[in-house]
Amino acid sequence: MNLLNPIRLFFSSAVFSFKAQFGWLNPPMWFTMKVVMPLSQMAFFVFVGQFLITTGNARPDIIAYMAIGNSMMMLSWNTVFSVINITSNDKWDGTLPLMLATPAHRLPVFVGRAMVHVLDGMLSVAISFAYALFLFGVNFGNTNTLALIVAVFLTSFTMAGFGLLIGGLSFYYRDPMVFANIFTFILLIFSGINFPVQALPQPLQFISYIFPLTYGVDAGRKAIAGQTLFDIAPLLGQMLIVGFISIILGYVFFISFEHVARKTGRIEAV
Amino acid sequence: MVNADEDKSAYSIQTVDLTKVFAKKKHRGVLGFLRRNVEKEKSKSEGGEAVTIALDRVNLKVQAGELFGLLGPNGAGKTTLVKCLATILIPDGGTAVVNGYDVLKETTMVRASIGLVVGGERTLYWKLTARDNLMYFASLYKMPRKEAKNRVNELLEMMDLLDRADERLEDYSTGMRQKIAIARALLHNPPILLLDEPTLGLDPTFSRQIRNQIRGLCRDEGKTILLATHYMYEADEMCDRIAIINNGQIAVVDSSNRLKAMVKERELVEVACVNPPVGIEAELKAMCKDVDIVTLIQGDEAKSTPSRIKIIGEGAEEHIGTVIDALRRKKVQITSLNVGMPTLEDVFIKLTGGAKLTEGGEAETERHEAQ
Repeated sequence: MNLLNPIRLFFSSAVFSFKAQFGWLNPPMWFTMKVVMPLSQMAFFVFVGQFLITTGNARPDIIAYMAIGNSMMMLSWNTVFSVINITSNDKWDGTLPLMLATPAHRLPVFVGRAMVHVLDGMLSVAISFAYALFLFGVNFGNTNTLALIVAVFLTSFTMAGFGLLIGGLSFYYRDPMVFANIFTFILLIFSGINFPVQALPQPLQFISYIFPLTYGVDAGRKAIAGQTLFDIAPLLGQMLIVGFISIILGYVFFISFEHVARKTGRIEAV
Repeated sequence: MVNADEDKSAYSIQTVDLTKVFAKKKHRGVLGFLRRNVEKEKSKSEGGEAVTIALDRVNLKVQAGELFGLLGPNGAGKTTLVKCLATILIPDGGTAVVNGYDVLKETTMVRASIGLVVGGERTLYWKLTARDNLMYFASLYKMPRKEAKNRVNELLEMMDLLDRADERLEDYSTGMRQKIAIARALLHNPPILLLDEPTLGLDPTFSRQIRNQIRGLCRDEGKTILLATHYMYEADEMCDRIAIINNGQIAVVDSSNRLKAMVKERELVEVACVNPPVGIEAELKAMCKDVDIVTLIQGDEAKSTPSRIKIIGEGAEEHIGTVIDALRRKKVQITSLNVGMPTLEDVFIKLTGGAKLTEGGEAETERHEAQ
């Protein structure tokens, strides 16, 4: 089996995806997406946290808790939304049928395209951490940098797999962004972003552990608190298991929805 | 099913009873979903489900090295057929074999054997350069990088776009983009090209260039080309054989000359005129009741193309005077009169019992029954 072809396809898809579909971003648009959006979300929850502190309903460390949680949440905007957009954009561009009419294997093509957003997601998290440090006074003095970088990368990678899971819907539905929006709010509720998973009603807590982000947020907080890569390895291991299951399921979804779209003629439905 | 005894490779493209059905959907507005279930039950109880039969047991055989035309109006099923052959659509019945490979069972091999070109503005990545577009698709066709680079340069030179290869496609004209689309289809040097309205929206100059290139690919490189078009003159000018398709069915397959011979010389009268009045068609039909078909094809004043009244059938020639007199009474300007030189359009109208084409290629169906 020739492995060079899929590997080459993986990298060429990543590069061309960035140029073709990411390249619509001009500097003002990029500034808005990367700089304004993370700040808005983080500021909202941090101010809610400050209000709870002043009313005596929360401990002072809630600010750091929320700031770090919302920083990691930025990964979902990049990975889930952008990965869903991969197929949607191809539909709108009219290139999806032409691409599907080639003999290229789907997995390296779409995973390669998703990888651009993994890296972009990490950049968003870094910018958000900068806000947390300089604007909201979060202490990064004890951070284990290696552990944090690995936690952020693996979270971004596994969340891209989740993006593929929902991205398959793009083959069939005109507006998969509706699902992306709903999914993002589900993550906000269940992934321990602004409150611990244990604060959820007990029967619902199991939902949190379906999402790689839940493990990633926890690992990120521990790395910032000073724990080593070895200390957070169990969390990362669990996240990788969940992540790979979602990537495999995502691929199955992708292929299934592609088949349904080819059967019903919805490949080009925009 | 394709006969097991028949050599699958005897034809480059072969379909047997190929069928494609789409469910009809009506868009009823915001509250439509409330009524949908009620109507669905009603439809089922009446024994039917709303469907559109896009391809109705299509049988086609295209020989190797042939430039085969698929001619019909918009909505006839041309694009659906091309998409089924290109594996973009999964047929609901019958079989299709492309380059000896079954479109359902050997999809990857079919895709490696074909180059697909569709008409329309957006089929490429506009934010990429022409070179990047071709290099990316070369990787999708599993071409080694060095081979891809050489091939891309070769094709850009063929299309006379080498000096603009590193410009973004958003800066190209429509015709130039279509040339790149054709180059993309040729990257992996496939034996078969599926062209779906490749000159759609192009000006006459680019259209002619594209047609010359297509002819060259068939004549000089021996490629098998399936050309779907609603432009009669394009099929007439280029194709070795033509299949006329309407309402998902193949009406006839033959060479252009033999098809035109189906309409005998004395059985065709065509009067070109300017701004015929409303109702003139019905009036002429009433006057020429003994002729099979009387139809008006509206012209386009903006493009200076006249309207044309066609009388097709036995005895058509005898009604020349009747038609001329009727038009003169209504002070309609007659620009030309053609007797007995049938075109493919006349064949189409005769075969479809009066289905006609506007200048844009849309089909309108009327039937004029001879008494």
